[in-house]
Amino acid sequence: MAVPVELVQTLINGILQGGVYAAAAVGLSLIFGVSGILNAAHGELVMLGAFATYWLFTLYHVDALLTLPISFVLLFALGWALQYFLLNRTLGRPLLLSLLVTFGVSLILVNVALRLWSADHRMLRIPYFQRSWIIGDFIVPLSRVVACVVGYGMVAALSWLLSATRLGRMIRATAQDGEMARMCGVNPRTIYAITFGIGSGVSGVAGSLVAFYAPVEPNMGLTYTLFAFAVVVLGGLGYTAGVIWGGLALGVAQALTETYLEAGLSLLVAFVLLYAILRFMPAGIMGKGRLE
Amino acid sequence: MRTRWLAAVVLIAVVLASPGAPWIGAERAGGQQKEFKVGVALSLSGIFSKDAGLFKEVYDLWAETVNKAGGIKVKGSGYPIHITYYDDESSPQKSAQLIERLATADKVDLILAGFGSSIAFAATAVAEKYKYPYISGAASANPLFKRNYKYFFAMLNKTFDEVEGAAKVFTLAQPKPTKAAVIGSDHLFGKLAAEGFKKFMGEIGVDLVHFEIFPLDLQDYNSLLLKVKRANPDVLLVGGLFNHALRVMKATKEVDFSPKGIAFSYGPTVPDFLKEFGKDADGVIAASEWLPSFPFKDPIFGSAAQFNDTIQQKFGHPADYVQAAAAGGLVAQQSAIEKLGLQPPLDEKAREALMEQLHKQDVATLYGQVKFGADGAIVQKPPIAVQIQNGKFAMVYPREVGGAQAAKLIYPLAPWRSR
Repeated sequence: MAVPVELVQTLINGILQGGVYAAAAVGLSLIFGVSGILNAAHGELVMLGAFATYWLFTLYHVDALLTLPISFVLLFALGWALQYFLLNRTLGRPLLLSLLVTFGVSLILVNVALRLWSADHRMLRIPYFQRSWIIGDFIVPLSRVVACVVGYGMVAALSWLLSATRLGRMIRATAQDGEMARMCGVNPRTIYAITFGIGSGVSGVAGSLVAFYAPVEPNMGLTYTLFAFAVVVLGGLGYTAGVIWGGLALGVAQALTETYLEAGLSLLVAFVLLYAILRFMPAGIMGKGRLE
Repeated sequence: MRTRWLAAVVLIAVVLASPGAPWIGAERAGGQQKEFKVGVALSLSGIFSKDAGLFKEVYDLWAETVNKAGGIKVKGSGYPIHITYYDDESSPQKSAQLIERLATADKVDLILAGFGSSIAFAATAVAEKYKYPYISGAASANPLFKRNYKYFFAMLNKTFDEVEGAAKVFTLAQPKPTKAAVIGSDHLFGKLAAEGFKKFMGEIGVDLVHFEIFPLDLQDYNSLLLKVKRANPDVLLVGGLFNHALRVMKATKEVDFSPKGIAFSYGPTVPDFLKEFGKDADGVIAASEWLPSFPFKDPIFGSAAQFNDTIQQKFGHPADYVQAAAAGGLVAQQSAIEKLGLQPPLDEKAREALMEQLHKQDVATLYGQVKFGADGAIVQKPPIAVQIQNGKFAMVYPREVGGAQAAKLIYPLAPWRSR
């Protein structure tokens, strides 16, 4: 039986895009799962990560792949500081307050980025990412493969950190019951700051991955905030590893729409999918998300 | 204490984000009326910001050049220009609000145009209401001209006509293409440009094998371009702005799609396009309306070549054709003011006279002759196509403009793998 080339190619495209979606959403999922903060500045952290890679590569000629850990460290520091000095003050307050404060943070970050770097669209030209693998009838752009593999790998590493390390246990304990964790010697405020730092760091890396193949500009964040929310809901609220499935579902659904229907419907399909999941599978595709 | 912290964050956010915040660079209009108060609502942020930034360069250059020469000369006195900028955030609604603010609160004498057709659609409705001439160097969507507005003037050809050159240039291709694909981004200009490409492909007898409008925030251009590739067109024509041109070019390379010819309604003439793609950009065709080699000149900016040199020196890139169009509009407006002897402040009657003069006059500018038709569209402007050849723009269609000869079209383009 002949391989339906177009369908397989579309699935490849969807899976590759899904990896980036998963990477861009995992930070949001982690932060919400642990501290209950809905981070409206999430996309701006992705944007800052993208700029970190752009400038490190352009100004200091740091290899594109080596910019990933640097991007993580820079964004970790920013995220840690944001939580420690600002967002910890919203703990125990209504959800709306953290949403409002992070929205304010997003406005500040966008406008500072505009001021510093202008609204230019900047694109990286990474020589070894310029080509694609051509395997028979299939085309696999190298930059996308790297972005996807690193993206999925990062989600897997984060899941491992949460489940198999002492820090992970402390984070999970704090997420389950902050008071009880405190009685066991865990300082919830420090854990929240570390969690926000890790969430920001991985979001920064996701931004760096986006910079491998798409233009970088200060206003790019909002799109990633929206997609990250969609991916987190699809994967299951509070279930960090669920973003892999959420990212895959969204990436593949959009790719199928672009190939077999039309590109103009891809956003609509994303949100129809979101509605369907909320309506019929509120705990996410794998049924492991939080229901309350 | 906590509340004060939170209040401080919210306050900083509001100050940073408020339209026209002084730190963004807006200079408040005010002071004595011994100057022309000029207002602009420009997309300093958002999707049009890169393109609109080109306008700001020209507006600043105009003010600087005219002020250095003693201001706009009216009845023997010179009146300097003071420009107030507001950021419309690439939002048509915001642009309309800011035009209202410029007209009613700031009471400016002149309003300069923002970037793009969708912005102009909203902004011109308000400019018309308050009787401010609005001369755009980058608004060309056909519906703009069907509203019987008297105060709207456009320096570019209507969108359909604007892409005519970039489509009909393929009549010069050997062998002649037989199949074309057209895609366009989902906004007024992108869609109309795509429709224009479709129409002209029909006129020159090239079959359309794919036509699609894609959303502005499309994430995966590869799927779209793969679909186009499967339709196997000889040429690809793209309606959209700079960032869409960037993404489409990159995706064609990633999916190894090598059409024999590729043309854009806008994007490649923005200086950063060449910077981004280097040698890969060779052979790309773009709709255009002006080149520095054209033999046009005016008393403010000098010749087309001098204008290009000034932009290059001051801003580090060659002049884009929309910059020349904007400059031509400024020359036309200043010439009308000087001809009528209008001293600031310009009241409604003065602005009405200005509008009538703009409709009447025929002025030589670095952009060419500027004469507006009854619908505000520029008349007698041949749409041209330029092609990037060895890292420079060469006119390839039509064969001759104002004495400047076209270069030979490079066609077919080499496949990506052998570039």
